[in-house]
Amino acid sequence: MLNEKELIEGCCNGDRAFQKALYDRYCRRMLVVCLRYSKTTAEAEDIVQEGFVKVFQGIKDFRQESKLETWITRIMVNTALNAQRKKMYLYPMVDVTEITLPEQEMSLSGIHFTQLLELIQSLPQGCQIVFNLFAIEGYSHKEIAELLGISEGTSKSQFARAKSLLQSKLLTESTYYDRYGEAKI
Amino acid sequence: MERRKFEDLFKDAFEGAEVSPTDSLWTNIELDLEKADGSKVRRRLLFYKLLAAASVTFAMCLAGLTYYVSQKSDQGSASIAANSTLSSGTLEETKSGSKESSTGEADNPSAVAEEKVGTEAVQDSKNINAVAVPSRRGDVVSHSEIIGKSSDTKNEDVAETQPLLPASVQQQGLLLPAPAFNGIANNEEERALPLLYSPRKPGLTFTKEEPDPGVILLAKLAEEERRYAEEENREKEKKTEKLWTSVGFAAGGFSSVNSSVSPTASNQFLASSNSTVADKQASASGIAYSYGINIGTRLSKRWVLQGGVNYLIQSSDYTANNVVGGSNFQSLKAESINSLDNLSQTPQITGSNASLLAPTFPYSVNNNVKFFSVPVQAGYLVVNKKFGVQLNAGVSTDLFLQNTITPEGGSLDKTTQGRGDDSPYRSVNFSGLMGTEFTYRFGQRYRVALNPGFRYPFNSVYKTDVGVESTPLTFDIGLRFRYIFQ
Repeated sequence: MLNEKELIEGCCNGDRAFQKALYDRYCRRMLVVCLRYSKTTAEAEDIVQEGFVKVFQGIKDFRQESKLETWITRIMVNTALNAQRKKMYLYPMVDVTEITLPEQEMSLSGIHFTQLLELIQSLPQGCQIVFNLFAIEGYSHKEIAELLGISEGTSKSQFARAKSLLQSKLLTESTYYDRYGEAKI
Repeated sequence: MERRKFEDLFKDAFEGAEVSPTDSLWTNIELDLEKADGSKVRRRLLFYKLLAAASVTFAMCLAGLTYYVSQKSDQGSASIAANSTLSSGTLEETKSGSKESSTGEADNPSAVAEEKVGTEAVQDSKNINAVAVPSRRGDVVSHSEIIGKSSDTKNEDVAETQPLLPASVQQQGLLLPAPAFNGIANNEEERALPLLYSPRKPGLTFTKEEPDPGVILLAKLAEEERRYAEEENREKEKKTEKLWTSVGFAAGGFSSVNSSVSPTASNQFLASSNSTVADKQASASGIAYSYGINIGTRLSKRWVLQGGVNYLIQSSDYTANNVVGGSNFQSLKAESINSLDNLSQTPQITGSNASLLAPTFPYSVNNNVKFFSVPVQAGYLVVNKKFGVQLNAGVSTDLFLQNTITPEGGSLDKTTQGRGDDSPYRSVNFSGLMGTEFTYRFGQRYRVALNPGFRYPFNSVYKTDVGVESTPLTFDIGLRFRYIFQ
């Protein structure tokens, strides 16, 4: 199996076999990343496709200061954000009062990540992006505000709304499991 | 920001999560990559194409320049050869038959030129000898003969020989420079010498036979441009309305808002019958209509001047209570302001006006006044397109023609009073005009205009001595058809 350095070198030379190997290694994880930022699988695959093309075109500039996966993930997230930007303009994020929710004890152990994906995809566009960036990618609200061209308050309020929506949906899901004792999938 | 448990739960849930994409995804990526590579190749190809095009252009320029220079040099050679022939011919005339070889070459100027320009001419001393140079004594001495002499003699000969050569030859630089002669000691040196001709001076003048194509093109373009400008001017002139005439009519109403009757004037009636007919007639409102022709011209881009002649009729009705009878009431007329003067001047009625005024039932009287109007107006074109809006203001000279008093029914006589001393109306009056014209051009030479406007007399329409004041304000809307001359 090729190591990361060999993969990078092969891709830098434009070798299709190395590119395929890199794709095979990361495509599944990257699809999950893109699914979190999109509403459908087809949409996510489009982002993955565009993202990988960017990866192969820009891999010569990869300075290997971070892990290759982190770098690819960042490209995918940026591509996803670019793809969603128009929709974000269509659904402007309103700066609502920050909602402070009581921290509830909650476990996601019994829930498959695909269900969580569905939950995230069901969020409104703005909430979905802000939640992904903050909760999963680990960006701060300030960074999100700069990235999306919104105010920090908007980012916070969108996240709070997303969190609230997810919590309520998760509660419904857990009630369902408690009642019927079986997973949906 | 402090990260909460909830967010961590999500992050952990997606840690290492994988979803397999469809098989076609890699194919699509490959296609995109191929496309991207293709565009790179295309860009490179484009670069090479541009490079090739630039090379071809450069080569063509170079070839053109070379061709031009060679053409120029050929012309120079030809003229030199011609001059040479001329000099040779002259020399032959001086001493004919002595140098056959020289004559033979002079018959063929190009050959001479070639021999003199080419290196072969230098290498072949015989050929050089064939080039004759006239001596001071009028003899033709060959080049080799000159060379064969001692250097002192040569200098002397050459110095003496130079003035004998034709001016054209000197101008063309056919003479050997003195140092060159000085340096000639043997054949080797002679070969190293420059040719008999001075270096050619390339000039950038074109021959008359081949005019500069660029100049021709520029001239053509200038001609074309001039033609277009002329056409454009013609078109513009077609569209510009400089002079026009219009025929039309207008209809509206008038109202004597400022009428008044002085007691002296109305006394003639009031004293006898309490009649207020003067006031009624003076303040009567009615209809006004006019028709006529106008002419207009444009003073500037926005200003126009319009004038014309109009026939103006103002018709009003009033109610009368008396009839005016002639002497012995042989004729009965409707009472009107026209009768005022008659009443006062009638000798029979000096003492008793009532004798000629007979009260009667109220009846309607129509007063029809006709004017000949000469309006002059200045107009400002607010909109000057196919649809135009124009604001007009001016004055009108109103010449009173006549007024007709027509009583209702046929029992009373209809009277008409023309202009003059007998008429209570002023013969000439002036009115102010103000209006708007909404026009529409429906052909190259036609325009229809709708012009609402006001007319207000500066003075009373009645004479001052009548004692009746009336300045009827007229508002009418005219419809005019305009014919544009140019």
